Amino acid sequence: MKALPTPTLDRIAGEFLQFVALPQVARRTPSYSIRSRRDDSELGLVTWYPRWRAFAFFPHPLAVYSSGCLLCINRLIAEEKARHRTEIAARRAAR
Amino acid sequence: MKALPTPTLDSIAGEFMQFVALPQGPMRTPAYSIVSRREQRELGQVRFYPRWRAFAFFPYNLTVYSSDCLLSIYRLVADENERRLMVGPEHVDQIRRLMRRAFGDSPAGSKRGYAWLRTHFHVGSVHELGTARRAGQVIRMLREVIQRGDARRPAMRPDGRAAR
Repeated sequence: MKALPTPTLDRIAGEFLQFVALPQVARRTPSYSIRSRRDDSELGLVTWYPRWRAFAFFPHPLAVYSSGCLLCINRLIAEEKARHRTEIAARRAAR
Repeated sequence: MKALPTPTLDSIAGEFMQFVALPQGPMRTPAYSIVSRREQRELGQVRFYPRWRAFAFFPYNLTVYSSDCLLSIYRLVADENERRLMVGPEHVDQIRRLMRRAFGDSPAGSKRGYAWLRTHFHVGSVHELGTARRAGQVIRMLREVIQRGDARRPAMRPDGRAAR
């Protein structure tokens, strides 16, 4: 994994998780890998889900999530959603 | 899926999912299946994870969750964790039953039981224990008292008469 967790993402991620921004190749929206802080194993992804036109959480099988982790992931999705909306509004205003 | 979703679970579950309480079987804690409302497909489970001593979310393979769904699952997990930590009616019933066995069914026995509770746990009633952990301690100690079998006998006064 080349990309490092950014301070903003680190603030959301909490005690047990870290969110690593994945390289944005041929995608218009960012994707994040959810990794365990302890053993750096990948637990899931947060990425754009075109069918729902929203960011969604794709858990890996055999991963287990505590209530705190679920809240952190939810916060990441909410922040990404807000940022996405601001970007769209800015793009529309620029037109 | 035999069990039906309860109204409380339904209010947490939201628009797209439903939480179905699974038959408890030999497990001591409840478990819930997360089912999609549209396709009635199972998406994951919420159950007790002994290693963390807490309820956790176990997603199934090839499932996707929106932010709302995650929030609903979070609420269920958090509620179950909170309930586990509180003294529940099952604890109260069990403690009262054990107290009757340990100290006798009579009013004097009941008095001795509550005196024992006050001495060892500094509370006047079972509800005041607060946490399930303390209720567990009471249950363990009461079992020891029953095993010893000395609590049923009323304490003796120095003059040889039974104390009231």
